Amino acid sequence: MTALPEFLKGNEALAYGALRAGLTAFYGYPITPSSEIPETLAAKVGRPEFPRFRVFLQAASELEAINLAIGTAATGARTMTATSGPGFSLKQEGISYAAAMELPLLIVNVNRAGPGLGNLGPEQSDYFQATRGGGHGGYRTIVLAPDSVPEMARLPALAFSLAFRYRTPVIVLTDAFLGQLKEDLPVPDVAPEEWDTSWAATGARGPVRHVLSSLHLELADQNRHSRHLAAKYAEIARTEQRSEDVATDDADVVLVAFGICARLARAAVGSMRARGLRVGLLRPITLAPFPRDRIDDLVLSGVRRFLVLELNHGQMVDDVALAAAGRAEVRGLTEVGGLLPTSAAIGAAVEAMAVSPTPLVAAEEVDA
Amino acid sequence: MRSEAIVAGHGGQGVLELANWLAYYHLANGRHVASTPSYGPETRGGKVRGSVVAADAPIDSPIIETPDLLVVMNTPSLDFVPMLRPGGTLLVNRSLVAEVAPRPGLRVVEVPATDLAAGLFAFAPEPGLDTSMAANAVVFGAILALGAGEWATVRGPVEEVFRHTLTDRKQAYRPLDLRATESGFRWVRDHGAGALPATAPGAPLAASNGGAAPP
Repeated sequence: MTALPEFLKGNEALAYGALRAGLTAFYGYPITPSSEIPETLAAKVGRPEFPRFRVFLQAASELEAINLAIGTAATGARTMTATSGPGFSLKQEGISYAAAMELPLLIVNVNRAGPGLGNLGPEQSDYFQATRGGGHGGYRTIVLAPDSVPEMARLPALAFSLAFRYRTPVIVLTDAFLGQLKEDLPVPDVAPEEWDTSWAATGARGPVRHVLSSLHLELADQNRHSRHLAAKYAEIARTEQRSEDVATDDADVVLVAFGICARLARAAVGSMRARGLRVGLLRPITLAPFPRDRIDDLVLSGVRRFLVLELNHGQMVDDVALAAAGRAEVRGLTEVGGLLPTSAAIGAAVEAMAVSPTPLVAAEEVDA
Repeated sequence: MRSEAIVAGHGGQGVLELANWLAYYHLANGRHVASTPSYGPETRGGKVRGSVVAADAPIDSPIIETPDLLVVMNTPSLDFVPMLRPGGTLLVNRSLVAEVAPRPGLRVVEVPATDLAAGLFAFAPEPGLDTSMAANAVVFGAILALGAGEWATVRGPVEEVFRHTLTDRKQAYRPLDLRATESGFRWVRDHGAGALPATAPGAPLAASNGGAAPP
């Protein structure tokens, strides 16, 4: 048989990516449009090509799934759960506990339209919920956003790597479009990384007792723990920002988009460039930590116009505006309800921005 | 070069299977492919749509706004005709779509896909099975007939597509689907692929050509 490339749905690719990154346990409760993830994994336990994958359990609810995941993650095993909007809300309490207990854990949210039950179409309306912690107590998570099926397959390895390096929950935030999209992808050749798990609970089999708890009744204890977490989050924010630039070098307008919107933006950059408009794209790969340093670089190199494309009523646009800090004009183009903005709408927004009077005078020019 | 196709019909017609075959056919020819399903919440019989984008270079946007090809498997799917780009091709399952009004600026190809498939009962994987379900394979062949090449050269890649997509219990359907694909291919080659009208896009078209009435 001729070797064709793999041709998979985004959700399937993500499941295989997790297996190739050494996934040990998966707990989930199916919900459209994420259900191909448990569907793909269910049949893989015990298969010789994935020797590390030992536990697949369809839980009775999302609450059970996240708490089972916490228990397994506490043993240092590579653990994942996957869901969509309503299920992601249900898991927030558990994510807060995992953050407090400093557990490496991978949570996938295939964003559907909302709020409430909403519908099964794509949205990016869980951006705030994912990037601001989502649960109680002021924790942070790392949030990764793929924009293609090949990247859906690649990111679980990075997610586990970051989760174990920083001992923190990592979220992959994708959307209903990318979850259902089928694309060809090269057969990956990755060996699972190994990480330090000397902190993990062992069932008291060793000489050292490892207590993993989120309870710190002494005020000074909680104060110390909160400061420790905050310092860790600050280090992550400093060192783990990731993004991709497309034709930003000479851009008059830089589109900022992630997930399926980044694909629309890529097409827009191509068609607008063909018409002589200098348009570029900045694609955040880490939504948290947000690649604000890259925005800063672009502003310092002269970019004065950012157009943020997202499937919500305007969430990431706040992070772009914070990073631009009044030194550039930041506009948003949004669509909701499972619909996508048309290429005509994107083109019109870019054109309107490109011909607008030179935006805000840069802060450094005021100083001079 | 980017090509964009949309296949539309109702649940049970093998619409997404057809989109998958088309995708694998492009893959077998070394192209990049992005394909998206769209369907309602119904268990069966709901509206189903599959989109297939193929290109020699990696695909930027997988979204289709103005397809080059629209396959209409049932009457309600005619709703999507306004999406077609001027000069695009409308491929109709004439067995289930009673009448196609003249479509100015479009190439219209009519294939009695369900009837052609029903006539292939001799190739049913088990006796007495209704083979009209292979209408999607007839249309697959009709789509391939719109391109270059003879059946002798197309057949190999088609068999490869079926080796990848008709696996496990579906393996038994490979002979039927191969025969149905050939049948659709030959129908279009014998009856004409509906030459693109010489009139400018938007001008009225004298008659929808292709001229294929159900047997």
